[in-house]
Amino acid sequence: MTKHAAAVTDGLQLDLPCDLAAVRPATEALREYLRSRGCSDSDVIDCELATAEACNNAVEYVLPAAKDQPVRLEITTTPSEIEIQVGDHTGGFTLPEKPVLPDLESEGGRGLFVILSVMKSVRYERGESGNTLVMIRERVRD
Amino acid sequence: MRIDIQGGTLKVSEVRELGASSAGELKDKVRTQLGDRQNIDIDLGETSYIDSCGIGTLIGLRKLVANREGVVRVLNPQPSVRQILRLTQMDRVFEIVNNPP
Repeated sequence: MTKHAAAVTDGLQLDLPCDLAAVRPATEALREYLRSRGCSDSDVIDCELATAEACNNAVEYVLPAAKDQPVRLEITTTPSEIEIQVGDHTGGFTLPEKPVLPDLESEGGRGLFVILSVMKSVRYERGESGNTLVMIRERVRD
Repeated sequence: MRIDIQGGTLKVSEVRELGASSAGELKDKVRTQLGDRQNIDIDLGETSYIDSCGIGTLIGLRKLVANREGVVRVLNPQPSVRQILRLTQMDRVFEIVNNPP
Protein backbone atom coordinates (compact mmCIF):
# COMPACT_ATOMS: atom_id res chain seq x y z
CA MET A 1 0.00 0.00 0.00
CA THR A 2 1.35 3.41 -0.96
CA LYS A 3 0.47 6.59 0.89
CA HIS A 4 0.16 9.85 -1.01
CA ALA A 5 -1.08 11.95 1.88
CA ALA A 6 0.50 15.07 0.43
CA ALA A 7 -1.41 14.72 -2.83
CA VAL A 8 -4.74 15.60 -1.24
CA THR A 9 -4.88 18.69 0.93
CA ASP A 10 -5.81 17.68 4.45
CA GLY A 11 -6.93 14.28 3.23
CA LEU A 12 -5.65 10.74 2.83
CA GLN A 13 -4.92 8.97 -0.42
CA LEU A 14 -3.88 5.34 -0.67
CA ASP A 15 -3.06 3.06 -3.58
CA LEU A 16 -3.89 -0.54 -2.70
CA PRO A 17 -2.65 -3.58 -4.58
CA CYS A 18 -5.58 -5.30 -6.24
CA ASP A 19 -5.72 -7.98 -3.55
CA LEU A 20 -8.36 -8.70 -0.88
CA ALA A 21 -5.59 -9.00 1.71
CA ALA A 22 -4.74 -5.32 1.13
CA VAL A 23 -8.23 -4.07 1.93
CA ARG A 24 -8.19 -4.44 5.71
CA PRO A 25 -4.90 -2.58 6.24
CA ALA A 26 -6.29 0.22 4.07
CA THR A 27 -9.55 0.47 6.02
CA GLU A 28 -7.57 0.42 9.26
CA ALA A 29 -5.57 3.40 7.94
CA LEU A 30 -8.87 5.09 7.07
CA ARG A 31 -10.10 4.43 10.62
CA GLU A 32 -7.04 6.07 12.14
CA TYR A 33 -7.32 9.02 9.77
CA LEU A 34 -11.00 9.60 10.61
CA ARG A 35 -10.24 9.38 14.32
CA SER A 36 -7.48 11.94 13.89
CA ARG A 37 -10.05 14.21 12.26
CA GLY A 38 -12.33 13.94 15.30
CA CYS A 39 -15.00 11.77 13.66
CA SER A 40 -17.46 9.96 15.91
CA ASP A 41 -17.37 6.21 16.53
CA SER A 42 -20.51 5.80 14.41
CA ASP A 43 -18.92 7.64 11.51
CA VAL A 44 -15.72 5.64 11.79
CA ILE A 45 -17.48 2.25 11.93
CA ASP A 46 -19.85 2.98 9.05
CA CYS A 47 -17.18 4.53 6.82
CA GLU A 48 -14.81 1.66 7.49
CA LEU A 49 -17.49 -0.83 6.53
CA ALA A 50 -18.63 1.00 3.38
CA THR A 51 -15.03 1.43 2.24
CA ALA A 52 -14.29 -2.24 2.79
CA GLU A 53 -17.32 -3.21 0.73
CA ALA A 54 -16.36 -0.84 -2.09
CA CYS A 55 -12.73 -2.01 -2.13
CA ASN A 56 -13.73 -5.69 -1.96
CA ASN A 57 -15.94 -5.16 -5.01
CA ALA A 58 -13.16 -3.28 -6.83
CA VAL A 59 -10.83 -6.25 -6.27
CA GLU A 60 -13.32 -9.06 -6.89
CA TYR A 61 -14.66 -7.68 -10.17
CA VAL A 62 -11.46 -6.21 -11.63
CA LEU A 63 -11.02 -6.76 -15.36
CA PRO A 64 -8.36 -9.44 -16.03
CA ALA A 65 -6.18 -6.96 -17.91
CA ALA A 66 -6.21 -4.51 -15.01
CA LYS A 67 -5.16 -6.77 -12.13
CA ASP A 68 -1.85 -4.94 -11.84
CA GLN A 69 -3.61 -1.60 -11.46
CA PRO A 70 -4.01 -0.29 -7.90
CA VAL A 71 -7.31 0.45 -6.22
CA ARG A 72 -7.14 4.14 -5.36
CA LEU A 73 -8.75 5.29 -2.12
CA GLU A 74 -9.20 8.97 -1.26
CA ILE A 75 -10.74 10.34 1.92
CA THR A 76 -11.42 13.95 2.81
CA THR A 77 -13.38 15.48 5.64
CA THR A 78 -15.11 18.77 6.36
CA PRO A 79 -16.74 19.70 9.66
CA SER A 80 -20.05 18.36 8.32
CA GLU A 81 -19.17 15.59 5.87
CA ILE A 82 -16.83 12.74 5.03
CA GLU A 83 -16.15 12.00 1.37
CA ILE A 84 -14.63 8.70 0.31
CA GLN A 85 -13.71 7.85 -3.27
CA VAL A 86 -12.81 4.36 -4.42
CA GLY A 87 -11.39 3.95 -7.91
CA ASP A 88 -11.88 0.67 -9.73
CA HIS A 89 -10.93 -0.99 -12.99
CA THR A 90 -13.98 -3.20 -13.31
CA GLY A 91 -16.50 -3.38 -16.10
CA GLY A 92 -18.67 -1.09 -13.98
CA PHE A 93 -22.09 -1.64 -12.49
CA THR A 94 -25.46 0.06 -12.25
CA LEU A 95 -25.97 1.75 -8.92
CA PRO A 96 -29.49 1.11 -7.60
CA GLU A 97 -31.45 4.17 -6.53
CA LYS A 98 -32.43 2.59 -3.22
CA PRO A 99 -30.73 -0.01 -1.05
CA VAL A 100 -32.18 -3.41 -1.87
CA LEU A 101 -31.44 -6.29 0.45
CA PRO A 102 -31.00 -9.62 -1.35
CA ASP A 103 -32.84 -12.75 -0.28
CA LEU A 104 -31.98 -13.49 3.35
CA GLU A 105 -30.54 -16.88 2.34
CA SER A 106 -28.24 -15.40 -0.31
CA GLU A 107 -24.52 -15.68 0.46
CA GLY A 108 -23.64 -12.51 -1.47
CA GLY A 109 -24.98 -9.28 -2.87
CA ARG A 110 -25.10 -7.19 0.32
CA GLY A 111 -22.17 -4.87 -0.37
CA LEU A 112 -24.04 -2.13 -2.23
CA PHE A 113 -26.94 -2.45 0.20
CA VAL A 114 -24.59 -1.73 3.09
CA ILE A 115 -22.94 1.20 1.29
CA LEU A 116 -26.25 2.83 0.35
CA SER A 117 -27.62 2.26 3.85
CA VAL A 118 -24.85 4.04 5.75
CA MET A 119 -24.04 6.88 3.34
CA LYS A 120 -25.99 10.09 2.73
CA SER A 121 -25.32 10.00 -1.00
CA VAL A 122 -23.51 7.70 -3.40
CA ARG A 123 -22.70 8.17 -7.06
CA TYR A 124 -20.77 6.11 -9.59
CA GLU A 125 -18.67 7.85 -12.21
CA ARG A 126 -17.56 5.85 -15.22
CA GLY A 127 -14.36 6.77 -17.04
CA GLU A 128 -12.22 5.47 -19.87
CA SER A 129 -9.28 4.77 -17.57
CA GLY A 130 -11.35 3.56 -14.63
CA ASN A 131 -14.46 4.22 -12.59
CA THR A 132 -14.95 5.95 -9.25
CA LEU A 133 -17.47 5.31 -6.51
CA VAL A 134 -18.02 8.52 -4.56
CA MET A 135 -19.57 8.08 -1.11
CA ILE A 136 -20.58 11.00 1.09
CA ARG A 137 -21.42 10.61 4.74
CA GLU A 138 -23.02 13.31 6.86
CA ARG A 139 -21.07 13.41 10.10
CA VAL A 140 -22.99 12.49 13.24
CA ARG A 141 -22.12 13.05 16.88
CA ASP A 142 -22.12 10.08 19.27
CA MET B 1 -9.35 -18.93 16.02
CA ARG B 2 -10.34 -21.75 18.34
CA ILE B 3 -12.64 -24.70 17.71
CA ASP B 4 -14.14 -26.83 20.48
CA ILE B 5 -16.51 -29.77 20.33
CA GLN B 6 -19.39 -29.78 22.79
CA GLY B 7 -21.53 -32.87 22.14
CA GLY B 8 -23.37 -32.32 18.89
CA THR B 9 -22.20 -28.75 18.61
CA LEU B 10 -19.02 -27.35 17.11
CA LYS B 11 -18.10 -24.09 18.78
CA VAL B 12 -15.91 -21.47 17.10
CA SER B 13 -14.39 -18.72 19.22
CA GLU B 14 -11.48 -16.26 19.32
CA VAL B 15 -12.43 -14.90 15.90
CA ARG B 16 -10.72 -11.52 15.54
CA GLU B 17 -12.23 -10.52 12.20
CA LEU B 18 -14.74 -11.93 9.73
CA GLY B 19 -14.08 -10.15 6.45
CA ALA B 20 -13.36 -10.92 2.81
CA SER B 21 -9.78 -12.01 3.44
CA SER B 22 -10.40 -13.90 6.69
CA ALA B 23 -13.81 -15.56 6.39
CA GLY B 24 -12.50 -18.33 4.15
CA GLU B 25 -10.31 -19.67 6.96
CA LEU B 26 -13.32 -20.00 9.28
CA LYS B 27 -15.36 -21.73 6.60
CA ASP B 28 -12.59 -24.20 5.79
CA LYS B 29 -11.86 -25.05 9.43
CA VAL B 30 -15.51 -25.60 10.27
CA ARG B 31 -16.09 -27.79 7.23
CA THR B 32 -13.02 -29.84 8.08
CA GLN B 33 -13.94 -30.39 11.72
CA LEU B 34 -17.73 -30.46 11.68
CA GLY B 35 -17.94 -34.22 11.10
CA ASP B 36 -21.45 -35.47 11.77
CA ARG B 37 -22.31 -32.74 14.28
CA GLN B 38 -25.55 -30.88 13.75
CA ASN B 39 -25.02 -27.45 15.25
CA ILE B 40 -22.51 -24.62 15.08
CA ASP B 41 -22.02 -21.90 17.70
CA ILE B 42 -19.98 -18.95 16.49
CA ASP B 43 -18.78 -16.76 19.34
CA LEU B 44 -18.20 -13.24 18.03
CA GLY B 45 -17.34 -11.83 21.45
CA GLU B 46 -13.80 -11.05 20.29
CA THR B 47 -14.76 -10.05 16.77
CA SER B 48 -14.26 -6.36 16.11
CA TYR B 49 -15.06 -6.42 12.41
CA ILE B 50 -17.47 -8.15 10.05
CA ASP B 51 -18.39 -7.29 6.47
CA SER B 52 -20.84 -8.68 3.93
CA CYS B 53 -18.41 -11.47 2.98
CA GLY B 54 -18.34 -12.53 6.63
CA ILE B 55 -22.11 -12.51 6.70
CA GLY B 56 -22.16 -14.59 3.53
CA THR B 57 -19.92 -17.11 5.25
CA LEU B 58 -22.32 -17.39 8.19
CA ILE B 59 -25.17 -18.00 5.72
CA GLY B 60 -23.09 -20.69 4.00
CA LEU B 61 -22.51 -22.47 7.31
CA ARG B 62 -26.22 -22.23 8.07
CA LYS B 63 -27.01 -24.01 4.80
CA LEU B 64 -24.40 -26.64 5.63
CA VAL B 65 -26.10 -27.69 8.87
CA ALA B 66 -29.66 -27.04 7.67
CA ASN B 67 -29.33 -30.20 5.57
CA ARG B 68 -29.01 -32.14 8.83
CA GLU B 69 -31.66 -30.10 10.66
CA GLY B 70 -29.04 -28.26 12.67
CA VAL B 71 -28.72 -24.57 13.51
CA VAL B 72 -26.04 -21.88 13.62
CA ARG B 73 -26.14 -19.63 16.67
CA VAL B 74 -24.27 -16.33 16.90
CA LEU B 75 -22.96 -15.67 20.40
CA ASN B 76 -21.99 -12.42 22.13
CA PRO B 77 -21.65 -10.05 19.17
CA GLN B 78 -20.10 -6.69 20.04
CA PRO B 79 -22.33 -3.63 19.45
CA SER B 80 -20.68 -2.69 16.13
CA VAL B 81 -21.07 -6.25 14.83
CA ARG B 82 -24.62 -6.50 16.16
CA GLN B 83 -25.44 -3.29 14.33
CA ILE B 84 -24.37 -4.80 10.99
CA LEU B 85 -26.27 -8.02 11.70
CA ARG B 86 -29.35 -5.90 12.35
CA LEU B 87 -28.80 -3.71 9.27
CA THR B 88 -28.67 -6.79 7.04
CA GLN B 89 -31.57 -8.42 8.92
CA MET B 90 -29.41 -11.32 10.02
CA ASP B 91 -31.05 -11.02 13.42
CA ARG B 92 -34.07 -12.58 11.66
CA VAL B 93 -32.01 -15.46 10.32
CA PHE B 94 -29.76 -16.40 13.22
CA GLU B 95 -30.48 -16.96 16.88
CA ILE B 96 -28.29 -14.35 18.60
CA VAL B 97 -27.44 -15.23 22.18
CA ASN B 98 -25.62 -13.22 24.80
CA ASN B 99 -23.82 -15.02 27.62
CA PRO B 100 -25.11 -18.54 26.91
CA PRO B 101 -24.98 -20.98 29.84
